Amino acid sequence: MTTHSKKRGPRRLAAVSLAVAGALTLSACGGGGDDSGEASGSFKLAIVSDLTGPNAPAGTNVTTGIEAYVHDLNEKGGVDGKKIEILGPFDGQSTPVGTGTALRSAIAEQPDAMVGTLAQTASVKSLLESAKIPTVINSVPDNAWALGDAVKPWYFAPIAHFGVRFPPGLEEVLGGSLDGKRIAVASLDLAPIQLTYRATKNLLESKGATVDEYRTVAIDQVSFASEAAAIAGDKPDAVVLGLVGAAPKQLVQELTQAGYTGPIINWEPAASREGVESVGAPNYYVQRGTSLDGVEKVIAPAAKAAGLKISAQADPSQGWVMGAIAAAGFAGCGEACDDGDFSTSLQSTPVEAPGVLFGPITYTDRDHQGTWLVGTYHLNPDSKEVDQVGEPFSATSEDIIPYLP
Amino acid sequence: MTTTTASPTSRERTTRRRITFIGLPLGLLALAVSTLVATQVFSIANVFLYDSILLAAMGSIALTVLIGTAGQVSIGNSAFLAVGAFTSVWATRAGMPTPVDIVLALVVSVLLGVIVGLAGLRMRGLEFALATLAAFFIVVFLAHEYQKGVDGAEGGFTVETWFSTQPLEDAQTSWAWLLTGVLAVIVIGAHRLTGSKNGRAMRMIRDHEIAAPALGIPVLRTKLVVFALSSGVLGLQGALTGHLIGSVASETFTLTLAIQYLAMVVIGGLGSITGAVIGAAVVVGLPMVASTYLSDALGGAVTATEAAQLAGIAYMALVIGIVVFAPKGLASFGRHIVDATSRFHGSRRTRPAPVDAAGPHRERTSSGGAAEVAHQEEDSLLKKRWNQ
Amino acid sequence: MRDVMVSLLGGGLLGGTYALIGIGLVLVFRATSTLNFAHGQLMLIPAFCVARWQATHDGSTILVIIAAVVLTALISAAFYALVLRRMTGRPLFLALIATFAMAGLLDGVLAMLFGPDQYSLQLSALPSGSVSIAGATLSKASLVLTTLTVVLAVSVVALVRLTPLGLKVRAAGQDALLASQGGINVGRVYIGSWIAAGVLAAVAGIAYGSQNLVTPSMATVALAAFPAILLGGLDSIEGALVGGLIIGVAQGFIATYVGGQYLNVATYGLLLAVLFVRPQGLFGTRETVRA
Repeated sequence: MTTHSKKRGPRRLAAVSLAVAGALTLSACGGGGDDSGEASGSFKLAIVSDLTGPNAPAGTNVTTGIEAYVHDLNEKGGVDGKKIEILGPFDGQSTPVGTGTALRSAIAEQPDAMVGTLAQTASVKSLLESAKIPTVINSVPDNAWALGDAVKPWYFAPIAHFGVRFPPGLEEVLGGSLDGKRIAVASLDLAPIQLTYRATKNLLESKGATVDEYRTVAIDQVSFASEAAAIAGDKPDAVVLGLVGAAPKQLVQELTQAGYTGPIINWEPAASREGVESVGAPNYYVQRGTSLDGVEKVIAPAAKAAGLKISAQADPSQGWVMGAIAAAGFAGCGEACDDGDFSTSLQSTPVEAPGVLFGPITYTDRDHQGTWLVGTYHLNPDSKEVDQVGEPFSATSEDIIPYLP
Repeated sequence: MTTTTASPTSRERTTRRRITFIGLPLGLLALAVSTLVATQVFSIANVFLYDSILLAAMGSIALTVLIGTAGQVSIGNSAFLAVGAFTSVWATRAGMPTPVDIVLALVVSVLLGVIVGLAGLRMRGLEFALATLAAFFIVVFLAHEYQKGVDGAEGGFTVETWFSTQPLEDAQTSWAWLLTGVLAVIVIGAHRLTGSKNGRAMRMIRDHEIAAPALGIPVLRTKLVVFALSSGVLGLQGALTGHLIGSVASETFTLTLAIQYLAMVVIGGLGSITGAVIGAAVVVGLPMVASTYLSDALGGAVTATEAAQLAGIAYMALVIGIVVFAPKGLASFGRHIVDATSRFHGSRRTRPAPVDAAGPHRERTSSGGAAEVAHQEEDSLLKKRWNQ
Repeated sequence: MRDVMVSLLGGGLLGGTYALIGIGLVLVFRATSTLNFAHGQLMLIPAFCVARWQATHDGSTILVIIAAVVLTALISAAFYALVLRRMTGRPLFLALIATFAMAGLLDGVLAMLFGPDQYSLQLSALPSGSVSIAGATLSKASLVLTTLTVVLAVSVVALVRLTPLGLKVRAAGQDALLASQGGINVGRVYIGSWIAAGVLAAVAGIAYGSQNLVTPSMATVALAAFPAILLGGLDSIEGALVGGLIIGVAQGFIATYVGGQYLNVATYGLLLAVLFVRPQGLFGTRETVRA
């Protein structure tokens, strides 16, 4: 007679031992990160970015920009004679587990500062807080860390809120005051950027404009067509977007088809000349914190010298600027970076990146996102070329503080 | 003289019985030892990874029992991870102290699991699998709506991490031991469940659901029990994960995640508890480890990004390979070792084969009563078709 | 009225896409009893190939399109021949996992080859400009594409229903043993089904990609075809056409009148409703036995 009980036991013995041995071997193999090179004489900068997963495009572009900047700076002598050594890049994989592991690996190497862009920073909030390493990461776990009275001295968040449309930018395009104007804000129904659009709405309304919000969930033709029809029907004076890649072109086409001919203003840090040209609409404006010429004239040559590849649609400008911010922070460190040297340096010296930034970035003790100069581009209908409209305007992150939740 | 008779000798059976008896305790000991080694030797990043593997193993065991032993193919059951995580968040925001939110997450998941089980009574096979997939998306949508409605949590909820007063290394170690304890309880529970009368009932439902009631098996009760328990374990895992990682966000519950848990079950072997643990280690650990290993091995030839991408492709190819060439999963290798050991021991002497009530017909490759029944049952799962 | 037109026509293109994908899924289901979750990637491959070619070369793309479709068909057939054919007799759950893994594998390969960039696909053969119908402005290209996809889908259905080849396909799908004894080369029918599914997915991918962006997330469009085929009946090819159109138009209306964020949940809710109320769909056969 056969018994049914306990037939898993034998398998468990052998297989669990196998599993344990396997797991141990595998995990011991994976060291996590490169070994740190020379001990003294260089600043250690850890790059933690999403290299795979949905956030990979942003992550890889930023990483390339940082690496290009650091290589270029080192060639020119480094920070006051001291070179910057790059640790990593550590891949956050766009997931909480990946980001947690990557950040722990980076912290274990005891870097002087960390840079990168991560989608899942909310999951590493307590880790960052306990480590207190100067961090320049492109996503804020908590808005209060970078703006307002509760600013973390060691945390800098470049560009995180520049989806916000600052009134001077719209005044530039509309050629005058916003009082009495009707503005349509078309955004994506993505949670993290809702703060951006709420701040935009409040800022614009404070100047006397009426703001209507339109949200789509999907980036597809059906959604865009119905959204465009709705927007055109309400006849606004300007439409404000926050789309990247090839999406703006599609929405602009739908808006044109729906009969809207007024200005359409996008924040697109990754725009390229070809991208703006391909939209083909002179009423389409792109605002960005870095110059469109930067990639071609400054970053691409540096990347080539460093042996890095930049793909056609990539814009490593953000990464380049982050490298500059890190270097500016290191400049105040002297021999070693003690608590506060990095942030004091950034709060007292503007960050420069000639050819890429329109002007220096300044930080205060209440604003660790900075005041930037933002430029506006559009396709000139006469010359058929993409040029700058007017002068770059000043976008001060401190203005967003009243609108933080 | 080695025996070529088909029937197992009693020595072989005794050996097998002895291995069986110490199997579970030895396995648990191995788990404890591996945790000890991991916390002492690994870097904090790898201990964190180890903690994540322990967590994933819980859900993996729950699913392998649900899908493998009981035959209830629920693709979307990983939604219970979200159920547990968000219930824990809601409870904490409602003011409940720490262990209560976990308990509530467990209770809610169990109740919802029962509801899913009830729904599963109306549907079979493929239809049920698709229904669970639809339910997965609906649950995540509801979680997303909840998240959107809370001010300041649009990007996800921040959750208090446990042991945060300790320095990072000690916190990770505390987590590792806590999770080892919880996992051990779940392993023991699953072992008990699948070995007992309930286990027999589940397997009978899996293979011959129509005939089961005629054999006195309470189909409804068994199904509901297995759904309740597996959903409860998944909910518990979700709640704990929130406290380890420090955040709960609806965007992290993707279809890819659901498929990863199915991959864990398949890689380990359907119905095998140790297989589930192995599967969890492979699925969670391999991408991380492989990308580091690959980028070191291939040096400058490949960028870090490409290494990570290659690792992802390799791991998918592994799943396909196992599905095609080793459908019983990695755990079956362990089984072969045990079978071989028992046979080796049993082959020392020949004895007249004892009269066996199991029947006169035995295949040459059969290696023992209990194992043979196991083989037969595994094979019948293999032959199960959707339309039964 | 304008909103109705926008919903109808927008949904129509979606519906045509779903119909093409759905017919492919049903063909494959009848052949190997698996639901192919890698269909979305089969849409992506030709779309990416053509879009990338267009971004770097000028000139006629018709040859590239044909080549891309052929490539997709080959990949589809190879997946069947190398993986699924070896799994006959194994539990269908494993086959399902195999298709998921294939989807993941193709995703990874596409990410490596095409990077994170977004592309747009231009079909120069399509007319440009727009036309006004009942107060709504619709692009001519969109209308033409919708008509073409629907016509193609109807043709395939007619082929299966009315021609001797179609008869063989139906017979093989219904009862392989009897069909082979009747002289039908069942193996050839199966591989033909997978090739046809690949072709249909490729066409759907290129059509959809020309009106939307070509990004990796386009694969999720194929996922929405599952409610469509369940509505129509898992083993019914006509059902796939009808179900696809219904779901597509429904989505168009939901996007306009209720809001795009409810699109996903509404579609899956509909799927659940169908499974509860009429699991065999509109035209399918009821195969499950209730104890």
